[in-house]
Amino acid sequence: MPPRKGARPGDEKPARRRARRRPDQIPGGRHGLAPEEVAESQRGRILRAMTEAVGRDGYQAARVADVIAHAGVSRKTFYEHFEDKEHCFVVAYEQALARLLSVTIEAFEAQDEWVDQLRAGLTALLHALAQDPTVARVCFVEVLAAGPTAVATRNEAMRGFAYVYDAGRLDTDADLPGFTGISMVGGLSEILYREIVAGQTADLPKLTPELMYMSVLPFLGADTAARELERGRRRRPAGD
Amino acid sequence: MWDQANIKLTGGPHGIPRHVVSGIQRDRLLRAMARTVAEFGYQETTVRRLLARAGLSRRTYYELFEDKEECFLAAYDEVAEHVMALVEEAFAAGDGPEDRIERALRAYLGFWAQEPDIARMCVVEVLAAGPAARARRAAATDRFAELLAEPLLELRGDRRLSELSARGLVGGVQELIYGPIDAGQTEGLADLAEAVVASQVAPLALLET
Repeated sequence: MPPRKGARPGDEKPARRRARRRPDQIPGGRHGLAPEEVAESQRGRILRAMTEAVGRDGYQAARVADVIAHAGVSRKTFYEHFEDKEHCFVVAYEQALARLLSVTIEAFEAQDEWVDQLRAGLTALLHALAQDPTVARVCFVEVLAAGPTAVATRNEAMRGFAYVYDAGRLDTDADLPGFTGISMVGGLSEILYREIVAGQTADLPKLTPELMYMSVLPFLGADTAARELERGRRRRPAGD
Repeated sequence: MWDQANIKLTGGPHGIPRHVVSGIQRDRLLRAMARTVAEFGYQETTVRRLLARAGLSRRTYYELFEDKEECFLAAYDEVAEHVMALVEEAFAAGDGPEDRIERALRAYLGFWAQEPDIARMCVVEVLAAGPAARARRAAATDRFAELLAEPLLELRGDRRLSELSARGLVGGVQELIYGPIDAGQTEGLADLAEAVVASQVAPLALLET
C-alpha cells in the first residue's frame, strides 16, 4: 500500500504482522502433503485453539477470531471445517472428554477387583484434570454454558463414565436401581464443577478418599466405604 | 405458584389498588415466561412472544422489567424460593435423618412433576440463560446441598464428607431429572426419591463400626 499523500515517514500503518507460525503448523509453500493431511492438521489445530480459548475466556467470551489466529488458519478454513463456534466447541469438547474417558478406562481395566478398578480410574481422572485445568474447565464448567446442543452432547458423553460404576453391579448383592451409575456420575460431575469454579482444580486428587467413599457406598455398603475413606486419607499427600 | 396469574383485569376504573394490579401483572408475566421458555427455549423467547402470552402491553412490561434476562431471573428466583420453602417444610416434618432427606427430595421432585413448564425453565433452560442465571442455579444447588448435609452429618459424623456427599446427592438427582424434564415426561419423578435414598443414603444407617 503506498503511503498516503503528505504522510510523514513512519506515519504509515505498519504492515499487518504475520502471525507467528505454531510449531505444529505446516509451513507455507510446497510441502508434499496430501490435501487430506493438511485438512487434518488444520482441524486439529482449530480444535486445540478452541479448547484453549474457551478454557481461558469462557465460552461466551471466546472469539472465533482468536481461535483462527492461534490455530494459524484463515476464517474461510475455519468455516470449511465447522458450521459455527458452537459446532467447533462441541467437537472440541467431545474429543477432550473422550481422552479423559480413555485415561479413566485404561487405569480401570488394569485392575482386577471392582473397588481397585474404581479407585484407579477415579485417581487417573482426577490427576488428568489437575494437570490440565483448561480441559477441566471445558469439560465440567463451560460445556454447560455452550447451548442446548452442547448440553445434550455432554449428557450423552457422561454416560461413558457410568460404565465404571455399573461394572460394580457384578460385585454387589444390593438391589440397586438402574439409574445408580448415571446418578453417581451426576454427583461426581457436580462436585467437580464446584471445585473447578472455585479454582481448586490442582487439588482435585485430594478428593479421592471422599469420592471413593460416596461411590462405593451404594454398591458395597458403609463398612467398605469407610475403609476406602480411611485408606485414602492415610495416604493423602500432604501438600501435593 | 403464581396463583394470581389467571386473574383477568378489566380495563377502566376497577377500584383495585395500583400495587395489587402490578402484582397480578407481574405474576402473569412470570407465568408467561415459564410457558414461553418451555415452548420456544430461552434464546427464542422474545418480549413480543411474552407479551402476547401474558396479554400485557409493552409499556407495562418495561415498567416491571428492564429486559428479558431480568424477567427470567425474577421468575427463576421466585421458583427457587418457592421450591426451597416446600423442601424445607417437608424436611422439617421428617422423622430421623433418612426420612428427612427422602421427604425433602420427594417435595423437590414432586414440584417439578406438577409443573413441567416451570421445571423446563428452571432445570433445562436456565443453563442457556446466561452467566447470571447459571450463578443462581449454582446458589440454589448450594442451598439444597447445605440442607441435606446436616442429616448426613448426623449419620456419618464427618463434616467434609457430609458436605461432599450432599452435593453429590443433589448433583445425582439433577442428572437424573434433566432428561425426563427435557422430554416433558415428569409424571413419575417424585418416586425417584425413595429409590435414591434406599440406594445412596440407607446404607449409611447400616454402618457397623
